[in-house]
Amino acid sequence: MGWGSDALRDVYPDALLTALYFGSEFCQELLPGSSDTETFCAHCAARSLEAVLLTPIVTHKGLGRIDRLLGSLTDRGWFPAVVFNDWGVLELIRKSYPCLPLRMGRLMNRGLRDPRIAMRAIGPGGENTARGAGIRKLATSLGVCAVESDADLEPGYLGSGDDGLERALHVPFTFVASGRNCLEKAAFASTSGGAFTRGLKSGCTAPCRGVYRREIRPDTDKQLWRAGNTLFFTAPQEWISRHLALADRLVFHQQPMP
Amino acid sequence: MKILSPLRIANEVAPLLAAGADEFYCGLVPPGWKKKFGDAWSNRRHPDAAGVPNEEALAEILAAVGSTPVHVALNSLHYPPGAVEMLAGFGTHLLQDVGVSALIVADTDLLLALLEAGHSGKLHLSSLATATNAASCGFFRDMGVARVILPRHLTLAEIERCMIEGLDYEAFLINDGCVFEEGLCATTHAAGTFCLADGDGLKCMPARVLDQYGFWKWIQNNCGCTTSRGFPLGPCGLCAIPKLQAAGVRYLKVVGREASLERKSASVKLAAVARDIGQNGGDAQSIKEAIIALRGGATLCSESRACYYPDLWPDQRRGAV
Repeated sequence: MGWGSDALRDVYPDALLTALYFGSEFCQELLPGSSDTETFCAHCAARSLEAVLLTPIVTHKGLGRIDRLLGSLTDRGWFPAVVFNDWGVLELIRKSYPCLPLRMGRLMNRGLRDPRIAMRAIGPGGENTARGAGIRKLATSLGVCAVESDADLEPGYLGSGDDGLERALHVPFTFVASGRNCLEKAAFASTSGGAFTRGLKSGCTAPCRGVYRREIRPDTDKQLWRAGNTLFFTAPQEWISRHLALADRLVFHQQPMP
Repeated sequence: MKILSPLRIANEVAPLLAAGADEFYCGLVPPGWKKKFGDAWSNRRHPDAAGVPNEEALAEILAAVGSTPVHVALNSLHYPPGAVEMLAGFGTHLLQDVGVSALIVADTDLLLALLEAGHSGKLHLSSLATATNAASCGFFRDMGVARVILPRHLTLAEIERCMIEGLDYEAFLINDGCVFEEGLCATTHAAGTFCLADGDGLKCMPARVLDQYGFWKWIQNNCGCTTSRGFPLGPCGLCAIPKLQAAGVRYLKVVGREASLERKSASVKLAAVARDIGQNGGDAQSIKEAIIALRGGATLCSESRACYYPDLWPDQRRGAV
């Protein structure tokens, strides 16, 4: 898949593993249950790793799931950091679980990631770390401790670090587009239909877990991957290198995952 | 319930008002934008094909509409360096000097800049900002947003659960679907519509699924045609008006700023017919019958194929796409 763990080791031979991420940033149907989450947290605690729960944009149903999940975890003494990609999730945690560290997820960065387009040239003053200054300031004022992104077309969203936010870069997969009309869900639907038009209201058994497929397009030479409801591409090494200088943490994904 | 119509020029005002429009929205590129930011878009639609040509044209529109509100979209998902500052100043000018009723905004930095400039209460949150639950809507209301435009891919039940006090809601009613969640599509139409070819080169996916996906994408793209009577085909939520009204949605969006006047008028006319039936106590079925009688295209309605809100109808057969 190109830029994999070996390349990561070449860049950061002495990098320490400090945290484990789990959950989903792209689909509320993929949120883990409390038992699985507790297992993750215990695994992390046993290895002195930070446990980080990823959460997606949610409807009331997903928000309720997150509420129940966090309620169960905190009742049992587990306090993972939570990556939010939905302001409603942020509000839930601030009001009901203020003890949980908050990290602003990569979907809050709505910068361009079009695989058909070349990365913008570096500006005369370096990367434009003013981009996203407003949202980072807002996040800081709301008690958020970190900002995350993947490699987009204009490095700089993670900022210079002056705002006090830890900066995390997801590598090597950059998301292109995501949504609720899911090809994997359609492929596994008991009836062939409805997955696109009527599928919004139907449940999902998460058949996409562990599955990713190559997608070829004539208008880009980037490696595209379909994983669940989301399309990713493998970010070219040059893209990642441009972002690395702005990152305090790398979040390495072994495969494209929604 | 109020019907929002897109428009581009003053000549469109009278026919669209006659068709039933209650409010207007449009796009407008700030003077000097292109010189400074090149091909970057200041709002979600193509500046030439969908935008008001210039500020003078906007003034003509405002003179023609009388007291009918006109909202301006500044709703790109992302902006190049320096653009937020320019747009915040331009937005202030539009609200304070030009007489625009509200601005439609998606980018958080721009929203914050406009709030800081004192425009709380005159800002509508674009669907691109993906407020999909009540807590998220509450977050934006507390910041100073007056209206939330709900994203396309929500069910009626989910829309009901987004409702909170102190906020107006606008929902998509007809035309122009999106394959992905629009706010989570990090591509740009400036390079061509990415989603139209999506899935074509996907490996190891059953052919039947890709066929259905292609058909569904075709519907989202308005079936590439109109009915023989000149009405649009494609995504449609007209029958859901009674449910939307009951949920608390007060504004209904007719999509398609770049469409011809004929298409805009036909769309607004359909919306007004459906709205009037709904407000006079008609149910979804009576709206459906009236719209099919007026528009044609019964097949498209028969299995909810084009429904923005398909949970309105019970499943009518197994395997419906």
